[in-house]
Amino acid sequence: MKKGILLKTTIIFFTIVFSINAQFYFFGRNKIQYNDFNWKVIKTEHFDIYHYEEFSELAEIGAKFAEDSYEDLKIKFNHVPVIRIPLIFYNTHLHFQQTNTTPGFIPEGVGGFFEFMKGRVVIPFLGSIPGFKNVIKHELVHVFMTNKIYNVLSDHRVATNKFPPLWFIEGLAEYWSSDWDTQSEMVKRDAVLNGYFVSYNDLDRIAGTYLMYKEGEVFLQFIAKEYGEDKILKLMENLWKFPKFDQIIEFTLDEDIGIVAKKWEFELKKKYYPLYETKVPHLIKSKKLTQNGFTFSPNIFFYENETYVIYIGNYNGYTSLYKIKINSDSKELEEPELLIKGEIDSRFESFHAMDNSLDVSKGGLAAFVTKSGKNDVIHIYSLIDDEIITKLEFDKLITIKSPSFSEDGNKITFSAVDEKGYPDIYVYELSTNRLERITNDIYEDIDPIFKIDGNSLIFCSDRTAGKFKGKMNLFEFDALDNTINYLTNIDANISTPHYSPSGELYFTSDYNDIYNIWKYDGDKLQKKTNFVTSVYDFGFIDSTKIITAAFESFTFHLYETEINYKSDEEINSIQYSSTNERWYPAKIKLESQNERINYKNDYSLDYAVSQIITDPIYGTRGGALFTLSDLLGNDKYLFYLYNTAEVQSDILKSFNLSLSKINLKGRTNYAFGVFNYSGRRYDIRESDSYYYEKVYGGFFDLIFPISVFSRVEMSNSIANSDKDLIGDIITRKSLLISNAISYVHDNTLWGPTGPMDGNRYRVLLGYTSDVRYSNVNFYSFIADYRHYLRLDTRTSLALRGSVYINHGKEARRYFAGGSWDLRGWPRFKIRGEKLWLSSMEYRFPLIDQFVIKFPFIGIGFFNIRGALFMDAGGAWDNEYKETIGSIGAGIRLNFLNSIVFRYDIGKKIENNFNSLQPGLFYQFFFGVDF
Amino acid sequence: MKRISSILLLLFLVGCSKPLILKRITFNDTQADKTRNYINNYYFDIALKDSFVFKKEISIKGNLDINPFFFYDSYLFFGDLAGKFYIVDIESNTLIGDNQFNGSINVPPILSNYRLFIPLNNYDENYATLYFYDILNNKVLIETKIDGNIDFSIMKYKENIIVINNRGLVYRINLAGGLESKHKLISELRSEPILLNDIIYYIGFDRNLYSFSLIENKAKIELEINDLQKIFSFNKELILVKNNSYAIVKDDNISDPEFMPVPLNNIQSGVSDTNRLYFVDYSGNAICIDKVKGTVQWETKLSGFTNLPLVLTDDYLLVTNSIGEIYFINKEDGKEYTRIKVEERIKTAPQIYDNKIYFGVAKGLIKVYEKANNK
Repeated sequence: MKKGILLKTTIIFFTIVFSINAQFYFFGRNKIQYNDFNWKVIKTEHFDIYHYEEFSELAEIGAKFAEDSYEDLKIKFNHVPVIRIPLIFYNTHLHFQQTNTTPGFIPEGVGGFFEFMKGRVVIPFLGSIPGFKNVIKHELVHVFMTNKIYNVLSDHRVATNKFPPLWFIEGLAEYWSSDWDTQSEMVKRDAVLNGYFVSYNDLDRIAGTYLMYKEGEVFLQFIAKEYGEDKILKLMENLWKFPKFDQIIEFTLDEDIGIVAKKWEFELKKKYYPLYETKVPHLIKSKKLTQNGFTFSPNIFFYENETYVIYIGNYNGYTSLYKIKINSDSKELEEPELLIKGEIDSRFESFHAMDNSLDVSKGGLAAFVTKSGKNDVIHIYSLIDDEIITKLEFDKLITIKSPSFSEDGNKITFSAVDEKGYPDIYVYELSTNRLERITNDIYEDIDPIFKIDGNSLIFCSDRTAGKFKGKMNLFEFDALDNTINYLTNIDANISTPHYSPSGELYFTSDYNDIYNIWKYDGDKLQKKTNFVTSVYDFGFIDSTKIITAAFESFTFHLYETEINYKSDEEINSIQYSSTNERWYPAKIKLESQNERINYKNDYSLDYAVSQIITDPIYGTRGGALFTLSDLLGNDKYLFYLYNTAEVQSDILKSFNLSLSKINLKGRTNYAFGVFNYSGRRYDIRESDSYYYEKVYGGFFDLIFPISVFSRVEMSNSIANSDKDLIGDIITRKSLLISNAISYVHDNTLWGPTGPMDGNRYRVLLGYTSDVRYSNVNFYSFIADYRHYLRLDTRTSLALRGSVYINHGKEARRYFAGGSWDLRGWPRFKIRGEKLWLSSMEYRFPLIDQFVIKFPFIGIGFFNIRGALFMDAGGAWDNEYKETIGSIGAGIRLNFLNSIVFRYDIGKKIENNFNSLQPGLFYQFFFGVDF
Repeated sequence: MKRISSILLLLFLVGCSKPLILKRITFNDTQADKTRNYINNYYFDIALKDSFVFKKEISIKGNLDINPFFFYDSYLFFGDLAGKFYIVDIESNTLIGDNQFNGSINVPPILSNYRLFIPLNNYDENYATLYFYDILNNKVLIETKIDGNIDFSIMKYKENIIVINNRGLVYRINLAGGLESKHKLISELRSEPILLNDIIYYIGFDRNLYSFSLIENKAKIELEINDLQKIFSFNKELILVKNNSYAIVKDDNISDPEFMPVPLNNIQSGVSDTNRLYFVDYSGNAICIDKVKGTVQWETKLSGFTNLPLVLTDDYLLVTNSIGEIYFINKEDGKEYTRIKVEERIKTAPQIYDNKIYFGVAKGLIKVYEKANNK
């Protein structure tokens, strides 16, 4: 039931290394608001529940979960927040990814977040009602904890920015929101048994990962068991007392932290080591078919006397469709073959690798799911002809999972989530293009397959009622009388049913353990594998030989194995009869629909910064910037005020201020505003000279994202510009109208210090004209192309070629020089109305981990990378002058995932690219690679 | 000019600290002991019979813990969580002395023979300190170090000060500051200790009932039931509270309590007078139960989160919630008589003394209300 959550979260860990570059100026991918949501607000006793109209029913259920969680947490924390808590719901993860409450991209693994600035809790519904409940409570633990700790610290008048480490914050949220679950158990035992369980002292090393969440949870479970549940709250209440969290643990538990850590490790080993008495690792019992990356959803395809596994894999940061040949007789591994490269264009924007999103028909058609535009689609791909045959998209179905062909390949059944958030079963007939909805309720119905002897369906659902309420059991939909009947009713979760070639039904289940393969035998269920960690999916080569996708050593791989485990574990399929029972989650009681009101923009401060600088040369100057936005983050206002006066008499004429409004609500984003900038400006046309300029006017910008990877930008401004060139002797007045249009593309994949794969470019055309005095009149052209050629997983060759042209009367100049473009040269070294730049850089890993252990503290640096580079460029106004450049090597360090430090050594290429400088240049700078 | 500035500066600096000197106080140890409450039962045997109006606000440095106040004569003694100790003249409600310590003061002091015993949880140290403060001469006489924190009320027992720390150690310290004895309890405390008939009762971390005899210096488990939530006492009675039931026991029948149901989900606090018991849960549901019959006399639903102790007078039950309200409930019929409403979060149980109500609120403030007809 919660497989997806675990697996998705695991991907976060993976994407930390190869994260997608978030939107930023000049390049960057696009966060697209495909849907125009009609937001409503329900006001409950403690929450403001924001949801859109279609999601009303599940929002009311979520509201009840929130109020119930509140009742529980107020006792656990012995505290309540005194403010109302805004809870924002989305019906799917795809809609959640459109939220403007956070500016960055939301990876697939994020199941919700609590945002400190406005105290917002933002949560998507992922199909499972119990999962929805857990995520709501998890985020509310954050709200309560933040508020509690703030109160503890302010009560004692100590700095209120002192928070526990992340493992405690997330561990507590897990511990106080989740019951025991299979995935968590599996990761813990895998970590202990495979030696990657991180000791207490190294928890910071895995900050932000799924493993950290789970280790934090296990550590707090251990504290509660060993020292008492009340100690958890005491840890928060004692936070004021010591500067370090280790000291707080020692004081609260009255035990040396080293002893606590050892006891914890001992408990875990004592619990998990005996598992090897009865269970086996995949690697021991099976042949591992894939080595690197992550691989999922194995499907067997027989073609021309060969056996292939078609699967979804991620070897290099892009999730794609692969095939690999099976050769059972050889110990050598076959090379995987790429079939469809995903996540580089809008057709295959993202694979949901861990959601069971692939099936292969006997006739050689592969059905796989990707996000494409606003919703998921099913692609039908011919394995024989190596081409996409068709794309199935459904306007009302947002996310799609687990496609499965009928025996004749003419129908596909799948599960999908509609606008109401209902996860239901559908059947699509390829020959008639007819879509039929099979179920229509709030229960999570997944993994449907056609029954082998007819048109009926078998699927997994949490509609189990009665004694095992909410468990994911096997059900049969009888197409003749449209009834749904239990095939199993056990106290366990079941998923991924498959028929063997001989027509027997198999599935995975976590009965009494983690997920293993079981066989359905009418009245009985037999356990057929006994692995120590979970099997996630499988496909049959023949009646006894299968390919599994399994989790082991914190990664997912394909294994070839046999289902010959013989055990006494045979259980009844139906352990509780409840044919007429139904369960339905409670909803918040609304006295009338008047308690559901339309959302209106309610603005509050996002941040405000001010600065005053006193400089012995330039005197005192200062300013402020603050922004306001509405609760959903769709509408923002930016105010900027700064004074650049160097002498008191200049104060009044040196005010710089602007007011902008940015609207992100729709697909097309726009911004407009007014500005007034004035003060002394450095004239890059003639070095060492300044002029006074006063510019005031307005602007209007439009951004239209074509897809996640490309967009069109338009910018228009009108500005009055008055320049005093030499005192008040020479003045230049102008009324400038400037228009520009750009096309931007970016599908790059990032490593720790910069892009590693893909390409990005921008083409801009612009025209600026003085419509009143004709003093200024020029056009602009920019073409900037960057290509990143992946040489292997961790090395790449980066290429850049850029041309910048302004041509006409009083055209603005470009300049280059310095760490961003022409390394080794000073800033402004070359300047001109026309400029070109070219760079080539070989990027490679240098040091993976570098730790300095002082007697009192240890400092670790990770992902130190090396680079060999060469730059070249030139700039001119009317007549080309010279080409300069540089060659060299450097190291780059991503410091705490927040800033990249770069240090380069090299030689400048001088004299129109004819000679190298005599010595070396040394350059330190910060910022990501180009 | 320089001389004047220096004098002004000196006056300013002197004005910043107010010595803890009480030369005018007339001290009587017996009287001081009477004002203390070691039974965790916030019952004030006085009739209020009136509504209250705001009198004064006293600004302090930190916020206060649940039960910080000690009143004696015409003075209020207390320390805040930022480690500052104060003496307030309650006739004028003005601050007459204060002293900043490095840590946090969680529980009220004890006053005995012109000496203040101030318990401080030290910042960045594994110990707490019990200061013996001479209030006639404004000086610390003795500092006694206590392992861990002092989170529970210190008690005067005969000629000793009894301190129980957060690690389950009982310190018996004589009035000269000497350690008389130190004993380990069977379990750490999760409730305020109750001193009844020379025996300290408390709930342990495993939610069983424990005791420690101050005569025999002997720790004992009284009741193994694993689900006790609260205890408090009235006269010779000990009231044991679970999530939704209670039992009244005396020292001769502790081992066999009869728990009576209470129609509340999670009892947060209870208080007792001669004939009745009053309980409130975290959601502000208050209930009154006849002690003899065990029947419900009345129930009432109040708003807000309630995690502060119930306070009882001869006429009202005072219920305090997190949203800044103190309800005055008529204890005969459960109807609201009046309420005090403040803007800030209330941090302490309201304390009644000299016809005034004192309570601490967030942002480092103590609010003082007095009877309306006093005006």
